Amino acid sequence: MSSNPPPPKPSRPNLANSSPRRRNNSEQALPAKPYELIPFPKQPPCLKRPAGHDKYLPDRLHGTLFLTLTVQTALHVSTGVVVMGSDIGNNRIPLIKTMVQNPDQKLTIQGSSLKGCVRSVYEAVTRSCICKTKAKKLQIPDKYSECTPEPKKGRLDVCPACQIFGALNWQGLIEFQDAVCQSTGFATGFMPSLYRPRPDQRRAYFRQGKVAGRKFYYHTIRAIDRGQNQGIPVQTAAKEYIFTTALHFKNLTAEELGTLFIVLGQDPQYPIALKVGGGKPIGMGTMTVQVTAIDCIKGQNLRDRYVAYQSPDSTQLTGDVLQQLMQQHIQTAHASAFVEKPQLDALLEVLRYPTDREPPTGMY
Amino acid sequence: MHKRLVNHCTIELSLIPDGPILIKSGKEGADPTKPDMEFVETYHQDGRTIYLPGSSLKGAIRAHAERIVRSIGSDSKPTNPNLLWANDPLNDNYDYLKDRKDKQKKLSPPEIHLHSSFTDRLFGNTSIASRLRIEDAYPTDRTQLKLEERNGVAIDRVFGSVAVGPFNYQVCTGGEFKTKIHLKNFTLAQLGLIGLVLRDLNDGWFGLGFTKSRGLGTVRVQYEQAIVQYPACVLNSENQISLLGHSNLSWNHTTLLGVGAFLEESERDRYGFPKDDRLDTPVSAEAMPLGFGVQLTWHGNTVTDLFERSVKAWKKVVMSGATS
Repeated sequence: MSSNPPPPKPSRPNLANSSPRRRNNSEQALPAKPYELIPFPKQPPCLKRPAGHDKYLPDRLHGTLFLTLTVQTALHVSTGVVVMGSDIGNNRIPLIKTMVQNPDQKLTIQGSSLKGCVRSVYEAVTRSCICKTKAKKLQIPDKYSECTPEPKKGRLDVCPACQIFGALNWQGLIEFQDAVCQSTGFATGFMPSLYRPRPDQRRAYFRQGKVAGRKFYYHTIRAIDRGQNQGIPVQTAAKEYIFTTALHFKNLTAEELGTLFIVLGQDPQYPIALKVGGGKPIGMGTMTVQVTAIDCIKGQNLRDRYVAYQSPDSTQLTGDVLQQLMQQHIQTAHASAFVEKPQLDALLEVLRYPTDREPPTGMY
Repeated sequence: MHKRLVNHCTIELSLIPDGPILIKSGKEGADPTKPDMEFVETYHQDGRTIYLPGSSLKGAIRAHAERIVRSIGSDSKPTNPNLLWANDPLNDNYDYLKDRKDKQKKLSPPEIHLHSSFTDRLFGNTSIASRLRIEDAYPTDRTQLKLEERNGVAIDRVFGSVAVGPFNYQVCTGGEFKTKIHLKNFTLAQLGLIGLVLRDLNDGWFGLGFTKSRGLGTVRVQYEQAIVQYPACVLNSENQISLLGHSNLSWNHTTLLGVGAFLEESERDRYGFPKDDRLDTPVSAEAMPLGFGVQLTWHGNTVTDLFERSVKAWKKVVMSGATS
């Protein structure tokens, strides 16, 4: 077993040595990029003190969301480990990049992959900081640099995303679990060699010296499997594979929960899907979300939960009641202007699903 | 009140990883085949093994117990010392445990107990010892443990490439860790609160260890048995539990007794223990080894019955706070 081997290096037009003029020409000659940069809101992040974990606040929401994720285009969430095909029961493949499997040999999406995916969309549709980037400090728009709360110094104000997903020194309010596939087994796909973003050569990443926005890849009708010669076989979850997971939350306000529902694609006005794992440029990783049940408590229900050993089952909602509750919270989120409409509209164009977009062919 | 022992409860339980867990060792070992972040290890039963340290378990249990008390009680000291409240032990200067006139002087032990918060009475503070003791959780069978390596990267929000990482960490996804929780001189409400905390741990309302927000730390709680002992009692000729040296104090042989039941009224009030702290159970008492002491045993899943009953005592404490 070897870890992180260098990918094969195919020949590629060497943009680095070309003159600026030629570089522009070659950029124009290339097909359209399979991603967009969603610009930042006009106003700076609205910082607030997060709710914290010390108690369940009576006027906030606590509970669990039960999710079903359906794979729409082949999904590969890499472990970073390449093994021989014989190690995972396929003797015809010499080397393959693996996905996480649980002790029952069921494919698993790490909680961290899901959290990152959901968080990045949540950041884009609210006035939140750019929490993880290698862009230089001067290139980051004013007040958009990463939140750095210092509880010991009493500095606790953070952006909306950091309030619920956490920041360095401050624990978030949402806990993701691994999503486990309902069926055993896996498919094998192919991942062509993908390239680094080259921000030094592609000017579109910047506008007036500042980063132009957050990068999101389009969904496509399918993923390309064998478009390129160079690449590596990958263990994948094929179309229609179903994963289930639960998402635990505490101390959320109605608009925070509503925004989370929007991000999970539960708003009929904004039918968006998640883009998870590797191979995003070639159309991989599209997943639609269904909220199957919610266990949500607040106020008196909270008190009831903590004065009896057998928790009342009636707090779990499904079906129409669940749909009504979700739409109610979504409306609260829209009405409170917690969600930035221009950003959400722009994001809808990128993450809309179903789509009729074809995956890019050749080198983009 | 630690000067004598009136009741003692031992809850034996197994913690079974429900997904990956990692209690990080904090130090990076010299073994180059291991990930950057390793599980804590120790020597146990002639071999090196990962384990869940008691301190990690107690911290998580205490934090959740405090969270429950603050949510349905108060998070600051109420004027009535018998009301339910939890302090913030990390930022409390404990001025209320010092003499009003002379701040250098501490109050008497019963007063310290009376003025401490509900959770401090159970888990201890710098002035009173903890009533609860929890053992390290060791794997029941080392060969059943499943250890894996996981990787993580932070994706750059602007460029879509790797912003931080890759970093790798060790997780345990299978096996069973056995531990014991000991409670001495407990009130039934305290036992009830522990029951609620363990219920929530089993339900995934809080986790253990590293990276709780992204998939790690959830466990299932499986009860092996619970033993409640009254070391200063014997079973008398009428098959009743009676306190040695106090011929007038005896109870039915199926009675669950909190600390308050054993004390004289004056002493009980000085410490603030509840009156009539007893409940009926379906379990009957039997003599402890060597003929001294009485014990009640709950086996396997019937341990939840013990908790269900003691939560009723807990409810009484909560409700008395709500009415006054």
